[in-house]
Amino acid sequence: MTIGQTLLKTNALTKRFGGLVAIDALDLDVKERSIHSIIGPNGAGKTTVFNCIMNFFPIEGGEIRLSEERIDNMTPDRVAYRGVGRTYQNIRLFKNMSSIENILVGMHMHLKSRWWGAVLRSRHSRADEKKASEEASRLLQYVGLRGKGDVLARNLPYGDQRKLEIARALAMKPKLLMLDEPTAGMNPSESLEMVGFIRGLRDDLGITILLIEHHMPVVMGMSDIVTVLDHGTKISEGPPDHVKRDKKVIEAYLGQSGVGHMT
Amino acid sequence: MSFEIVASSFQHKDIEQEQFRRTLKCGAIGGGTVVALCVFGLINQFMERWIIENTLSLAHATFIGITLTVGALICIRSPKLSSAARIFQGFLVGVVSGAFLSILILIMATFDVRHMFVSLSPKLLAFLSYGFDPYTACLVTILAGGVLAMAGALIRESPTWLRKPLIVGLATAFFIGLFAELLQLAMQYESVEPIRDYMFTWEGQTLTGFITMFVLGFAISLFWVTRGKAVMMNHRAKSSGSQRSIRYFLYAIAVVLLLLFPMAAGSFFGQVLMLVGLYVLMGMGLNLEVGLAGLLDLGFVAFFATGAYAIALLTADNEHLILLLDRPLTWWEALPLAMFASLLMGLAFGIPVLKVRGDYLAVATMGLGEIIRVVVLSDMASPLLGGSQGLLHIPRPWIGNFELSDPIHLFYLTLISSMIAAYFAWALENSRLGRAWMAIREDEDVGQALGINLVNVKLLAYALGAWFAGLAGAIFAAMLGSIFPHSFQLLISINILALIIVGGIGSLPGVVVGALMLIGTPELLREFGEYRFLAYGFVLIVMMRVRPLGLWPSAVRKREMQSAEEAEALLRAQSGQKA
Repeated sequence: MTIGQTLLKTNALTKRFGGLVAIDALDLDVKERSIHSIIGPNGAGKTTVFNCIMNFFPIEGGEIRLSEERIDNMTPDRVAYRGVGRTYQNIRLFKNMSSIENILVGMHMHLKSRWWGAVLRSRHSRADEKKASEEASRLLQYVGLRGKGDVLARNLPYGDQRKLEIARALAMKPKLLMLDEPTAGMNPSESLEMVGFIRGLRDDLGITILLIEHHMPVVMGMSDIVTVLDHGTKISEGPPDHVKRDKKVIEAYLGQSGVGHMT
Repeated sequence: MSFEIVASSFQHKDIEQEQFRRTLKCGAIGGGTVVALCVFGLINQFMERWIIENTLSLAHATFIGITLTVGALICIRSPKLSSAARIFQGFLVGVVSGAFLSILILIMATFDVRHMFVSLSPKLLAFLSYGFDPYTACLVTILAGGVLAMAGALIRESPTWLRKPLIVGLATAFFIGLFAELLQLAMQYESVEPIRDYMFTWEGQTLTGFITMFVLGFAISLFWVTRGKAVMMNHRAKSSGSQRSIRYFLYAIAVVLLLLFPMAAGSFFGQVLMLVGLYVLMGMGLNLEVGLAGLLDLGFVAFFATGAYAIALLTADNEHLILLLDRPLTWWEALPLAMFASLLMGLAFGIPVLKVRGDYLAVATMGLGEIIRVVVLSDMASPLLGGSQGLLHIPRPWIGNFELSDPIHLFYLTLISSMIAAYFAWALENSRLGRAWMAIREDEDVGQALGINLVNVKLLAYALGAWFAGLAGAIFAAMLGSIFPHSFQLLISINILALIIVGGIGSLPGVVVGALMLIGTPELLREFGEYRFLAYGFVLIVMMRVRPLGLWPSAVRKREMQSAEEAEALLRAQSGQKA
């Protein structure tokens, strides 16, 4: 678990929606092989940060760099090519496709076969497809969905949908995986399982994790660095212990009554 | 205590009232339809066509069919009643329907309404009143309605083994009678002459023919209903190898029939099939766009036109000819160029609407499609494209020294092209590109965030779809020998989209079924020409209400529509099996 150099960096990232400043001059520094959490009250702009990094909409100021390369002027698919994968707060699977197909779409950019290859059933294309479906089955097994490959995504139970969404993102072989509230709607024991799973992603696969989370035990239990946002500005940053004690955080985010929860 | 009695009697009254309303409603549906058919003038035309010669006209058959249906309908809608009560309800419904028609008869007998409703002629009145005076006719109509609807209810209430064969038998005999003329045309061989003479006269189907067909349909269906399951079980029990060989054998028979039928059936059938084939080809193309990639396209006709015009410009010996060699190209030489031109048109078409989504896309593409037609019609382009004069003298394709001049020859060409297109579509569906298409259909943003290049993928959908349409256009040009801008109306785009939806979006067999239904059937019923679109609209409405998934839905769509409960049960069963 050696934390390395900066993987993702935002400098004075600013995003406005009309008159509303969603993110105000945010500096973020995500180190390689770290688990970096973003927390903050509702409407603090956490998901907007993800959307900006993915470039779902243009930003109004600042820059975003991935391994030194600017990615804020790229289309989302190019950002994905650079190695950024993500999940969504409200699960956004391809609901009418099977689990395995969902993962195969995630592998899209690593597959080489062209459409004429598919039509002509070229040896190359068949080999590619075979390899892909084998790898997809492996991924399915890795996230604990073995044997559910042919089930439509919409028919999976909620927890499995979360897992499938992560599997789909993993299929992209990302360097940076952005998870938007991966434990939302889960009970404590499921959350704990998810914590172990996310740790495994970092420890076994060496993937850097950027996390948005509301469950304090989850955040404090596994993060290397925690960034606290409020109204689009960073009010605190550092290791969990540091953030926990930060007066500004307690006041702005948790309020006086929340102090008890933190300890 | 007394309160309860009162309450229950209220409840009873409620149920009765509800049933009364239901009966009135079903009766009104039946009666309203019949009256509407009379007013629109369809019955006038239907009178001329015999289902059984000199006995039963299409008009009679329509009345009978509608009344039987409403009788069955009331049974379906009154699940709470006992069987006998339902049959009685059937009678009442028929009476209500008959009453509607009676009112029409009385109005026609009393007033002269022809200056408003041209179709309500004395001839129609004579037909409706069977030669009785109006009042007796009303009584007869109401009674006949009641009896017929009761028969419909009886059929509905009868056990499956009887009901299905009855319906199949009646339908068989009816359709044979309806298409008697065409079938006779197709039976111009000495070997089948005895059968033909037994079944038909030139006026229509004979009574013996009708009965034979009914018995035949009844018997086959009865066999299938009672023994079908056993046959299927037997089939399933066989080894997968022999199962497959049986399946291939059936496929082979189907292909042979498909190949031989048009040849035997004569050139009229050939022409109809050829047209159906063209629409299948275009449907396959549009299916890539709409069915897989979810790009709603109402300008598809533009690609069809491009293919046709490209062929005409390159091959037709007239002043608009573009000479690439020292002679006009042959059809085969021009074909790849025409398809390529359509492909380019697909790209040019896709670029401006890349960022447009969903319903807006349909409107935008409709505009693009119209632009193409208007440009062709314009004075500006007329020196090049011939304007409204069109392009004439397009040669037919030759194979060696053999000219594909007959519609049937061109039908085979279309058939082969459609098969290639179907294979294309099938292969693409299970490929990387096909999955990417489905992904952007489901959620464009997420797809893009997974590394799918939207521009590439969308343009490929437009281009490949356009490619097939171009092929269809090329064949179309060769078939007609001359092309005009007015052949490329918006209606064609709508037709193709409608046939895909009726067949079942995203389903390849659905394209064929949809084309047969929406293109083939109207062609066969040409004599009712002006009413074709009335029927067309009616079919679309009914289809979307009764089978929104289409006639032959794709497996995927079927899965989608499965309720979550069902799926859960399935999942549980599966995991139970594994455990």
